[in-house]
Order: sequence, then structure tokens, then C-alpha cells
Amino acid sequence: MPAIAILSDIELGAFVALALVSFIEWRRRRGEPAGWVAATFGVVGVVLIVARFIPVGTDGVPQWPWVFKVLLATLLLFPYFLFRFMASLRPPKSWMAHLAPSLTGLVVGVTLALPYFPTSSDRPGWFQLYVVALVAQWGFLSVAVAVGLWRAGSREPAIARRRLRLLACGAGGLALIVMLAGAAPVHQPHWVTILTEAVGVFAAGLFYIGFAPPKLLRQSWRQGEDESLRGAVARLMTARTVEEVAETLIPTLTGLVGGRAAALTDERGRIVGSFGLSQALQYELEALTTVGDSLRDGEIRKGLFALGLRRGSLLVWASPFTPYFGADDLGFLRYLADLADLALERCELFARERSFIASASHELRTPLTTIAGMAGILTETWRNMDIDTIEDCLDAINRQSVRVRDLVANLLDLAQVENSPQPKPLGAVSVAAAGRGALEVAPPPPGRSVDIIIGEGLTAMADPRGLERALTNLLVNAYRYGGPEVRVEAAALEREILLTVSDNGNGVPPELVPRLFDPFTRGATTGSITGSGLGLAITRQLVENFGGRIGYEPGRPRGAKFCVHLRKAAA
Amino acid sequence: MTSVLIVEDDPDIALMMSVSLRIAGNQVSTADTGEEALAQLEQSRPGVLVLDLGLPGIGGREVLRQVRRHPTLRLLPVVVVSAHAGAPTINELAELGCDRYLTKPFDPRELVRVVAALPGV
Repeated sequence: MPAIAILSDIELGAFVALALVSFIEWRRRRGEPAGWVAATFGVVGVVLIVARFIPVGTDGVPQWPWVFKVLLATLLLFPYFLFRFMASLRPPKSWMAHLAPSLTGLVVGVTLALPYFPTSSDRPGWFQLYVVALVAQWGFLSVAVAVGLWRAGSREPAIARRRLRLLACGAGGLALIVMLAGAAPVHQPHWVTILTEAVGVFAAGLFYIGFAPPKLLRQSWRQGEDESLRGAVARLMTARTVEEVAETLIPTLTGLVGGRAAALTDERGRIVGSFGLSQALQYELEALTTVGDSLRDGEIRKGLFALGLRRGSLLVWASPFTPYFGADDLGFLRYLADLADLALERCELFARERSFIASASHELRTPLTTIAGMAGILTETWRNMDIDTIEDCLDAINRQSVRVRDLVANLLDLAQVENSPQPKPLGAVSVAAAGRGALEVAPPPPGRSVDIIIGEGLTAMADPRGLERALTNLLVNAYRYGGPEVRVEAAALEREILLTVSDNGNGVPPELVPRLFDPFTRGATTGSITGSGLGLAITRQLVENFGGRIGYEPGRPRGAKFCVHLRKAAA
Repeated sequence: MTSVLIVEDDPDIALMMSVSLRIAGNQVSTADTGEEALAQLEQSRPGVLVLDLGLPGIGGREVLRQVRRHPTLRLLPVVVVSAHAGAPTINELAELGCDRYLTKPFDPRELVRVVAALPGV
């Protein structure tokens, strides 16, 4: 019959193509699930090709009975391998895990032990019993796979769900083929043969799309999720706090991979936001990420995906089917993680801005409250006050007013050096001249002395006023917080000029060092020392504007030492 | 008239506190270090201690600990003042055993009200 022959050829082509695609996929991805898929379709491809060469006698019995038996036994592995593929993603129930290999082993053994293949007109009882066993094995495994994959799809995102359901339908088709063939009478009518061939072709198509869906199809399946993803991205880009980022990102991430839970952690591994994270999952996370064994970027461990961020990581407890079916979703996860990085960076800037505004407000409020308090006392009670107290109050008002003025001037300076639209042009600046200029602006107060040891020939890339300002700030800082002897030295290194300002005081408390150059950083016990807390922040910004850098190290044997590295000017 | 010892290392804030408390009828003395404060407490036995936590040398926390361990000073009413940056936590305040707490900067009239409302003043 030409229709049967055509369908048979199409079926052969479809399953051979599936075998090739699954083999290539396995070579590319490796892993247990891909291995079982390659084995499944490899088996069926080989069987269908070899079967073409086996001659069939006039009585309908295949010649070369041993080759035919081996082929049939091999074909019986097809539903078993498909079952193992499903089991490699999510372990089946214990009874099912035991029954599947037992049943398959039994039917394969019986197939190999068959004494002969009877003719289509003579089907003895033992052979009919064998057919029942064969249908039971094939049918049970195909139905188990079909039901398992269909149910697994219900919690998955669009692409994985559709792929799982197509595979479930394909497996269901296989069960149908065997039922039809097994239930057919001894002399199988042509329509049954045509139907089984057609179902086989259809199942092959479903398997093909399920295992290797074309990109266009995947894109159309994703449309609904893409829309919600775009919404999440928009919210992510307007988030102002880490908590808002976590709130926006984590449910989206979890939904994207059909996961149970997700968490955002900071650089120390502390969870800053989570979704669906039960106590049990927290324990699981702790067990998985023991000290020194943290998850690396892109690592998948026991269903837990780790996506590294610049400062922290995103952890997603995904569905067991995601590693195999969610390649697109994992790509989107990476994309979202990159966006999260940007969003978190923006949040950090916002936080720093808020902190700066809070600190600046506090710094202004302190002298202004003292001025207002003193003015209030004077206004209400000056008649009852002696002249000395009135003078003390007026002096205090004067000092605090100067403090406010200096603070505002420094705030403006900092804003200018940080955000200057047109940075000052840099040129070769004599470091010795800058040192002399700084000393003129900030001569040592009584009880302090300054030694400047800078060779005349040293020139650095800077702007002259900026460098003088930076040095002035370092000198004033040393007068305020350092010891009585201050030294300013400079040395030419290979490519840079190293300028140091050191003193013989107590040095900077270690806990203060990490944020020493941040605005408004001051020690806990500097109450009587009046400074804006902005000098070092301005200095760092100036030095960075020159393309240099500034650091702090404890002085030897004692004191503080500020090291300014400047680019050496070309000779 | 209540005798108040103000321990504060910022001279202008110390002046503001002392003038406002003096005008309100208190007798005021000042110290700008923890060591000086402990010495004055032993000598003059004030009725109220206004104590800044961020002092050079022996800090305000240590002064308060010593006061609370002292056999005769342990019941002395203490008003703790502190800058926002070095503000103690609620737990620390309870542990320190201060009677009232003010964050700098504060209105001097608030300090006068707080001192006047202390038990036994």
C-alpha cells in the first residue's frame, strides 16, 4: 500500500532526525537528561533503519529471527529510556522506579527467549500472552511518562510548560500505537496499520517540537511572560532602595523559572530580600553554602541557581525541569541579574546621597541650634546676665557662625570638585611651589611645626590651585588631629610623584580608616575640634581629578601618614 | 537650687548648657574630660550630672559605668547627651543606666525642662 509506505518513510525520517538532533544536543550539553534523550531516540533510529533491511517471508514472518528478536528487544528499551529521562529530572515514586526496570527486563528477556515468531495466521496462546506483556510494559511506561510530564508542566513557565506537554502527548501517542497494535485482530486491517503509522509520525513531530522547539515558536509562547518581564524591568529601573529591588525582582525571577523561592543576598551572603523562602530552604542554603564553599556565578547545585552580582548574588530555587527545559528562562535570569546590578548600584548612589544630605543637615543644625539657643537666652535674659557671660555668649555665636560659613563654603567646594562641568586643565605643576603655597595659606598654629622636604625639580600633573588646596587641607587636618610635628615630603617614583603628609600624633583610629575620606567622617572624641568633616573628602576628589589617588597608612613609629600619588609630568 | 555638673568637650555647647541651666536657677560647674568629671564628682557631689558620651580620654560611657558602681554616687540622676553619630542604642542606654537622654543638637530650654523634671530635683 503506497499510503503505508509513505507514512513509514516519513516516520523513519522523523525518528532518525530526532536521533541526530538529540545526539547533537547531548554532545553540546552533556548531563544525564540529555544522555537519556539521546539513548531513547538513538535506539529507535537504529531499530527503524536496521529493520528496513530484514526481509519478510511470504507468510509475514521476518527472516533472520535472531536479528529481529534483538531489534525488538532493543525497541522495548525506547519507553524505558524515556521513563529514565523523566526520572533523571524528578525522581519517580519508589514502586514505579522498581517496576519500570523489572517489567522491561522481563519483557526483553522473554523476547530474546521466544522459540520462534509464529505466522500471522497462527498465533498460539503463549505468543498472545507475550503480546499482552509487551503491551503492558510499553503502555505502562508511556502512560507514566505522559502523565508525569503533563503534570510537571502545570507549574512551569510558558516555554517549559508547552514543551513538557508536547512530550506528554508524544508519549501518549506511543501508548496509543501499542494499544492499537495489540488490540487489533490477528489479521490487522489496513486502516489500523495506517492509523498506527500516522500516530507514530505525529508523535515523532510532537517529540521533535518538545525537545527542540524552533526559536520563533519559543518567542511566541513567551509573549505573555515577556510583557510581565518588561513591567518588572521598568519597576526595577525606578527602584530607589535595595528592598524595592528585591520586591520587584524576586517574584519575577521565581515565576520566570517556575521556582519555589528566590533570594537576594549582599556581598557578605546575608539575605536582603526573599520570596517563598521557608525555614527549610534556609537550612538547605546553609548546608549547600558552607564556609569556603559558596556558590559560584552560574552554578546550579541541587536545583539552586546562583547568579553572581557585583555586590552579592541572586539565588533561585528552580523547578527540577528548568535545567533541561528552561534555557531561555535562564538567559532571562542572567539578563535580570545584570539589570539588578545596575539597579542596586543606583540604590547605593541614592543611599549615599540620602546619607550625605542627612549628615550635611545635621552638621548645619548643630551650630545653628547653638546660635539659636544662645540668641534665645540673650534675648530673654540679657538683663539678668553679667557682662562677661554676655560676651561669652556673643563669642560663641560668632564662633558657631564662622563654623556654619566654613561648612557651607566646604559643601560648595565639594560640589564643585565633584560635579564641575568643565574640569580645570591639568599641566605640569611644581610640587615644591604647591607646598610653599599651602604653608602660606595654612601656617602652623602655636605648638605645631612643619618641615617641607620637596626637591625643586619635581613636577606632577595637576592644576596649581587644586594641588595647593589639597595640600592645605592635609596640613590643616594634621594641625587639627595630628601631633605637634608635621612633615611634608615628596619623592619621584618611576611614573608618579609620591607626596606624603605625616605627623607624630596618635594616628587615625583603625575603625575610622575605611571611611576616612568619606564626607563628615570624624572620630568619636573630636568634640572640641572644629572642622567640617569635608576636608579629606574634598582632597580625595581633587587628587582623583588629577588622575591620582590618595591613601592613608599609620605613621612609623607613630602618627598618621597621608600618601598622595600623582602622575609625573613629562620632562 | 540644684547643683549640676556638665561634662562636655565642646566649649560652646558647654557654655550654652551652663548659661541656660544657671538662668533657670541651678548651680552649674563644668568639666571637659572624663577624668576631670570623676574628680569633680568626688569633690563636689552634684545633684545632677549632664554627661556627653563622646569625650576624649575616659569616655562618657566609662564615666557613667564608674558612677553606677560608686557606693555613694550610684543613684545620681544622669542626663546623657550625645551627637547623632555616636548615639547609643536603646539597649545600651538601659545598660548604661541613664535617667534621660538627649541627642545633640538640642534646644537649651529642653535641657532645662529635662533637668527640672528629674526625680528628686
